[in-house]
Amino acid sequence: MADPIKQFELVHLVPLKIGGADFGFTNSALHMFIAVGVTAAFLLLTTTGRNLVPGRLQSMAELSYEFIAGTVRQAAGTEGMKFFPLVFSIFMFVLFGNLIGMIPGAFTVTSHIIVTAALALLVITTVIIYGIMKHGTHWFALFAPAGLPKAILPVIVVIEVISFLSRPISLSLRLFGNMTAGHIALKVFAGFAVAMVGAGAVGIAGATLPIFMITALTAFEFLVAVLQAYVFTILTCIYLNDALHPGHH
Amino acid sequence: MVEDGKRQGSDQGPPTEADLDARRRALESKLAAYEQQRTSGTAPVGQAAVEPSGLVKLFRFSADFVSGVIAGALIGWLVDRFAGTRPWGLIVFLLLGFATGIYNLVKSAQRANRGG
Repeated sequence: MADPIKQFELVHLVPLKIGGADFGFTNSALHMFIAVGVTAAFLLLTTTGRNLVPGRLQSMAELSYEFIAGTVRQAAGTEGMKFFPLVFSIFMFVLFGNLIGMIPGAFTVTSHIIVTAALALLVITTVIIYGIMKHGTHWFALFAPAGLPKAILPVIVVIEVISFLSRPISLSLRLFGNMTAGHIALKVFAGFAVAMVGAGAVGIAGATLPIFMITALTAFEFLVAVLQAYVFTILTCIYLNDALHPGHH
Repeated sequence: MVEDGKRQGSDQGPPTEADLDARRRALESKLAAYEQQRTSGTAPVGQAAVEPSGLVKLFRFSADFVSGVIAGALIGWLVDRFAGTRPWGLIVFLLLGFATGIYNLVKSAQRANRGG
């Protein structure tokens, strides 16, 4: 049976070492470039016409814009729109990274926790830097919810700080976990099918069961791919809201 | 779809100035309503209500809980490493991490109930 973890292996396409650090071009980097390229091509090509009444493709590009703009406005208010470029880039990168990973044989960029953690740290760093820039020390009021009795305040502040630090962890863990678990499940069922076919006529009949399962799981994985990109985006917006309005939450 | 009927009705002759004026006003009020909705952010456009399946919810909430515990453990480990208080930092912060996990869970459950 094929190793279900092998699909996540990094392969150096162009090895390159600078001063002992590894700067090689891997299959992961290649698929990141593909995701960015596909996103750019999709948005640029579909909007070249700029028709007042959009065609199907232009409408797709406009819908993705409207959808994310609506999400940002709802979670972070109209002021949050200054983060729209960041949020939209993250959404498109995660979405296309997930969807390209669904092509058989392709590498799933978001199945490596270092990639999702880098995205989450980018978001949380933006929140901290912008929050302190805009509100100064008032921003730290985020950690002390108003209207609490003095006696339990120290405990709550510690918990709030840990909770804040746990956000990039949960953000990256969720995307990574979903993508990795889904792809392993697909590979495991596919492995069952292959192993059963090897067992003769009865095995071939039995192999239809895992193949049904693979079909259902593939559809589910497409749902997860889109939904996780959305969840990552909406949580990004909620966290950015803390940078804009500390104290309301 | 009322406008469609009106347009067909006025197909007999060229539209009068009053006709056009009424249409302009209708468009203006529609645009104003849209703009109001856009800036207030109460009901965003194209926001389809996606009801996530049970498995998706499980992943969402479990990540909230687990991340609290991991963050607590990480902080405890770092405190022990730099303050040399092994094993007390890990014990205290792991317990606080559990509390944080539950706290995160309750907060995101409240958010889910508000429909956000």
